[in-house]
Amino acid sequence: MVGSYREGLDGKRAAKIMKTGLSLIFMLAPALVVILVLFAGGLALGLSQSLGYMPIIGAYGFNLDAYLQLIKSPGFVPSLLLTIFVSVLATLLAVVLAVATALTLRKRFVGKKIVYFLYQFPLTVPHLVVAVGVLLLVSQSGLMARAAFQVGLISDSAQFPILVFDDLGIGIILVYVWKEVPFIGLIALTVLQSMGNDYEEQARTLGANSWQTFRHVLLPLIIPGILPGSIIIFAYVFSSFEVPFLLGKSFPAMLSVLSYRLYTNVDLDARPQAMAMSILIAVFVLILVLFYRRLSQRILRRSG
Amino acid sequence: MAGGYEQLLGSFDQELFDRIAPKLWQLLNDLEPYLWREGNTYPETHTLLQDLFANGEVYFDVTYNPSEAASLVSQGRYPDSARTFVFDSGTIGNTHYVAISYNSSSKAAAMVLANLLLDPVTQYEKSRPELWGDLTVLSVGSLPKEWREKFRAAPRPPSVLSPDELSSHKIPELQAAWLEAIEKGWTENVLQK
Repeated sequence: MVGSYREGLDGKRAAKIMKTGLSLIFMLAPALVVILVLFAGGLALGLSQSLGYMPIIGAYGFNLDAYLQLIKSPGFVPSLLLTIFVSVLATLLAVVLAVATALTLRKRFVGKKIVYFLYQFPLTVPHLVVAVGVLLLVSQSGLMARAAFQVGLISDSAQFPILVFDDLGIGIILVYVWKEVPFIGLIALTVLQSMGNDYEEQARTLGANSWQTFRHVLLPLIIPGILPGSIIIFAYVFSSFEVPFLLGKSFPAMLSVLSYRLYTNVDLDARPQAMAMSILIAVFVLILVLFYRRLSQRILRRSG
Repeated sequence: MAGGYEQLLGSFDQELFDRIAPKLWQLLNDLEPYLWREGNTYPETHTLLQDLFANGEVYFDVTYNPSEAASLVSQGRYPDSARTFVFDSGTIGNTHYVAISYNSSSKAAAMVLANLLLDPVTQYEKSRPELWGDLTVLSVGSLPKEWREKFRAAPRPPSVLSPDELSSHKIPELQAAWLEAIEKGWTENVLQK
């Protein structure tokens, strides 16, 4: 009697759990369908094309030919190095400037409201717009070059320093730094404000100077907060296309631009290589992000 | 350089390409000191090239549309002093094509549309600078008299060359396989050098 009562209860509970589980799946379905069909489906399609399976051009192979051709092509290594350089430098500069500005912005000063508003402003501007803006501003016939010409600093547009379509991707880095400083900075600011002044004051009381306070007290507290943000920036810069397409040099071009060129090639035989490039970008990002996490955790342990 | 463009017409010939191409790469590499940014980089899009021309960073812009300059002048993007020219040795020209894909399910309807596009009325509208300003694909000399006169009487902005000048300097474009080989060779031998 008791046993069957128990059983009945368990059955009911199981049914209830199942019901919640089912309703949960239904509630998540719109998001899951999008992720599975568009993301996983696209990834699978790209992967199979990169391996040489593309029935529409009569290719049914499953091989690594496209990857080998890509890696052996003379433009690949310079492009990879440039991509790593730009994404590392942009992330680093953005993080350093963000922390520095966050430390300043948490203080009280006259006009803070306006400064704070201007500081957040870049978050609302699309990358594309910023890229075009940088082009109009710092290209050799841009606004700054025109101003320099008017005041007699230069006598010809070619004398203006080369800041876009340059070897080191300065223009590209400029766009990302401008865009991402407030992104990291606001996270750092939130962390700083939520912990108050107690730790800092205690450190100062115990005789730490301002650098020591920053290095051993504030920084270890900020890093866990800005780490995910900086990983997002790094992965984004590494694989994004529009800014290097608008401001990058023809050769070496960043990997995403190479991928686009291969994808839009009139020769459909180049399509597997375009897909291989995209897959490689994803793999590189994954590897570098893992490496970056490892490295920063080590730094964190040492300073903690 | 190739000894007349005539021998390059027809389908792609690897042997001929290998013989002529090195001379082309040599010429293009020798030109680099005189190019925009000494040939260190090239404008990625035609729009960027147009901007460079409008800003005076480069002295000329290349286009397939002979009346493009006129339409850009009328929009105020190019200065009034912009003029078009063709090379004495000939300039590659092409015209717009419409094609019907072999697996199209409505071939008849596509042909009706193609006829409409080729109609002198449509072509004349297309050539008006305030609309598109693109030259007609029709051979004006073979049109009925009234259309011939209408096309010839159409006002021509000072930046646009006469149809006779254009057609007498027009040399045909190569088949796509040549372009593929040239683009690939240019990337390897000029851009990445």
